[in-house]
Amino acid sequence: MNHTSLAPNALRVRMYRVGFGDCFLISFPDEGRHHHILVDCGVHAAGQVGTLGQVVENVLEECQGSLAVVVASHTHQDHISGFAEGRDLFGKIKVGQVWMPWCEDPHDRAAVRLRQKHLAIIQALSEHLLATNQKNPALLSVVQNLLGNDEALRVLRRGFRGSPEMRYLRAGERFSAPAGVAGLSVEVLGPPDDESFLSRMDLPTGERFLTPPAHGVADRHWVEPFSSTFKATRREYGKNALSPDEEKRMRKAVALDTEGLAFALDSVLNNTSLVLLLSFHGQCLLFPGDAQWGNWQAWLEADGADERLDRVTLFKVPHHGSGNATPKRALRAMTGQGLTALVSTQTKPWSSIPHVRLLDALSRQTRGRVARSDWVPVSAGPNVRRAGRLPKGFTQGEFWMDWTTTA
Amino acid sequence: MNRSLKVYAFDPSQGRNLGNHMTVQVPYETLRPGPIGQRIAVIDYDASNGRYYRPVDLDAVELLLQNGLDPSAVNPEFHQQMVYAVAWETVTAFENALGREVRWRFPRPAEGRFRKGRKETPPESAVDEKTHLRIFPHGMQAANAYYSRELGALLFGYFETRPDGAIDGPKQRVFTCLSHDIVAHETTHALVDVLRSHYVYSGGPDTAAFHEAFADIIALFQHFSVKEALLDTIQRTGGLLHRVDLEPEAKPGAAGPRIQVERDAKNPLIELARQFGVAMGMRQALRSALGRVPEPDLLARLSEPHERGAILVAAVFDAFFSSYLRRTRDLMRIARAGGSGLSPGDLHPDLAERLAREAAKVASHFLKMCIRALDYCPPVDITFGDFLRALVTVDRDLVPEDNYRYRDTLIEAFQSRGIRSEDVTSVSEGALAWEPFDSTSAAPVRLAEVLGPRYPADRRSLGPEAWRFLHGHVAKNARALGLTSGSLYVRGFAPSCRVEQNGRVRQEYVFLVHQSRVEALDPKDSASPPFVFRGGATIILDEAGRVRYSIPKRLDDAVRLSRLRQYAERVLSGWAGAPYARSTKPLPLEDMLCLDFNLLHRGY
Repeated sequence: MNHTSLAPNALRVRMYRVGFGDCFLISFPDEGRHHHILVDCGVHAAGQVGTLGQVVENVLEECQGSLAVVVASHTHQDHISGFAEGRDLFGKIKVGQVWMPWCEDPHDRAAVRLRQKHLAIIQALSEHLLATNQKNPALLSVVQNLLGNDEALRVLRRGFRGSPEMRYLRAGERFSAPAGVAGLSVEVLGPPDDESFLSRMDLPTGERFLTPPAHGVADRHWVEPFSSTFKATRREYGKNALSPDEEKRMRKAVALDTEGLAFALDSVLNNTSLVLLLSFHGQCLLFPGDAQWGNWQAWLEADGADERLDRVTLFKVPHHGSGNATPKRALRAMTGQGLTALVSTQTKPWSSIPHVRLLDALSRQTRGRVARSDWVPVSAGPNVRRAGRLPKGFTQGEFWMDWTTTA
Repeated sequence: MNRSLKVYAFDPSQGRNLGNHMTVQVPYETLRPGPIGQRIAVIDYDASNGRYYRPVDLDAVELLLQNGLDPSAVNPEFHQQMVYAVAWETVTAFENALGREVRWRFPRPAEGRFRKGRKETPPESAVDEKTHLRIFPHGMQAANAYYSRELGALLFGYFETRPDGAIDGPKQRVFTCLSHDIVAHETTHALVDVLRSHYVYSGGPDTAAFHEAFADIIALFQHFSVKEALLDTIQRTGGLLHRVDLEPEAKPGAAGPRIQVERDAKNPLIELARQFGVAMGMRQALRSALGRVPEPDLLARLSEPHERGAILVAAVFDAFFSSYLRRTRDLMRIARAGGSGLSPGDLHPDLAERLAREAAKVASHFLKMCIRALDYCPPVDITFGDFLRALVTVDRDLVPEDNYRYRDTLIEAFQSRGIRSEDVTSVSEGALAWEPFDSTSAAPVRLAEVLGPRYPADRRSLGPEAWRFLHGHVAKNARALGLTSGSLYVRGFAPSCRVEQNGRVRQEYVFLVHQSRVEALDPKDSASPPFVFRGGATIILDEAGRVRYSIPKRLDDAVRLSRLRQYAERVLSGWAGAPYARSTKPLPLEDMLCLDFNLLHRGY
């Protein structure tokens, strides 16, 4: 097996075909050696193609047991599940630093409170969906993505060799040569940490907001507002009671909008994504995780956003190429020569992803230098046949796609 | 004749402090158990539990004799009494300011996509869902309260929570219907909706923010009628009512235990829905806007409706407090000349009493002015700048001399918060007031044709011929009135009878004209999501049917259209469901631009 061997000052980004998820390995040459940064490693339970195990093996092999940095952009299953699944292999890898958004910092009180609140809502929501037996696959998949990431988080915090330094990053931080990667400078663009961002993330809820499950699931949050002497049936209430139809309308009006809530939770978590701008000898890589509008907005409207975007040479398209994760204005501002885009995507479990119009726009903006992970065929997954040749700079591997710069 | 009813001035968390157990006076009407009156029907159906709570009968002799039930958090019958009283009080404030009755016209379920033809409530019910605002004081278990046009109702939630978002600790039960502010706020939403039905359609970032701000303004000005709280605050601020923090009642010592009266407190007059806010850990926006030095460029950076709305509230209250201080300067000087102390806690009770009277007077003037300004607001796409212009116009009509310089104060307060009016050449009073209509450019409306021979004996509604006549008249004069060609709809004709400062009665008529057309989000791409672009004019006639003002929002205004496009784009990109929406259907952009108060208050 060939290990990475790059010309000085060149760099390689490997996009793995994980299914519906993200896993990128960035390799930098340094005087005969190589440094590696792993950005995310996960797949959605409903979008697996059975390659994740091999992917982790390949990461181990490529990095020869040593990663300078592991980045977990945000804590959705499709970005971190691999750390749980590959815990044994990851236990063999020596890691210098782990980067996560500040929202995951266990010492940040506001962040912890918010996380606990979200977890409680997610738990209640999934219990509710189970109890009411809902059959909305798009909704179930969204909830699934929010669940069961404890083990992956444990591995990220304590499961690597070499007791890595945990860094919880926030917008505005800049540093160079992290974990010894000479020549690399990093600018953190998101997530923002101002108060209004926090309040947007904070879904207002009492603990009790779900309608009671139809068939007697015990409910620990139920509130009995008044003593029973005040209760009345429709008949007892008298002639000014509502008609049965009106009662039904009312019940419907106050029932929880499960879909709205699930989507809101999903976008809240996406917006905690680390947005990283990595500069290395003239190359400028933008890794925005799954940032959606709330996250982009903060720095897109700040000074210097256009200059930064103009420098970008590689754009990791956020949220698997979904319809509203790449603001038009941001894409338009990426006018650099040789701009290339990577889309780690798949049409399962959501047929609306990737968004066709976005792909067209990317293709126009990059003059055809866009690569999709699902061009790499796997036996289990929905594959997409590429039209024409691979764009310049790309090579296709067994279950990955490499983009290598010439120095 | 008035009915007196006991309510909480703030909410149960205040105990008996600050006159929290107060009595409000509302116009008397016969009440059925509920209470169910002429226009408000309290129905205590709990949709989360699928049950009712026994209705209170406020016309029962024992309750009539003692001003209703005593405040109590555990008795739902008191809750029913309180929502009725506060909602009716709020409606009355509107009617007094507008100079007319406000009538609900909710869509009957049978008229919509529900069953055809008949009244949905049982025939023997006294409630008519078209003309009654229904109030459900315990409508659901949720940390929310909202106005629903579909149901023609206010829904108040109740919930249990741990204070301030704490993870453990004792639970607290919160009834949103027991918060005076929340009831006034939600009732105001319903009132604004009946006066300006098209304000549910966003024309930009100001629309939702205006709803929230306006409802908060009404709720806040009601605080100034709580005399004990007002007096206490005057004492503890040394007459400087606008201070956010109150001096402790007793100066704390350097060390040792600190007892209750040694703690400083927040000004209760400018704090909204305290118990709810503490329980939910929210509503910080307003306090911080009022407590902060105005930054003119802040507004442009804010898009969240509550944050944006807080700027408007802060501007109005800045003007209010400045006017109060200007009006009471003489009193303060007299007090100082008499050697009286003016530091917090030292005010002479007579002085405090006089200051309270002045504060209450200015508050009631501002409340009236804000409500009346609604009549002078355009029919669609309200902006903060429009509201300022309406305020200036109303105040000019109301108090031509402006001895207390209310208008200058208002204009300056809005300016310093960065609120600008479009198409205004200067920020002088004359330029900001709506331009009087040139009455030679359009013929007067022949009022006799509209009002009919039975008017004013039967002012219930206009007949179809009257509407046709009005429509014809408007269509004929469309250009002069600032309307564009194409179809137009005449809505909401209403008389308004006001007493002017000089004691004369001024009779006016207000009506709205709506126009609209469909646009694509991307003008170059007809397949992009469609939305409706709305325009029209608010038209005010004098007693002879001459047009006094036509306040248009033109449908050929390209600036406005592009602002809405930008806003729509933003709404769409912020929509959490977008990534998962089936691509075969166009995105429901128009639905997203239509405000849903339930979601607005929930915050997502």
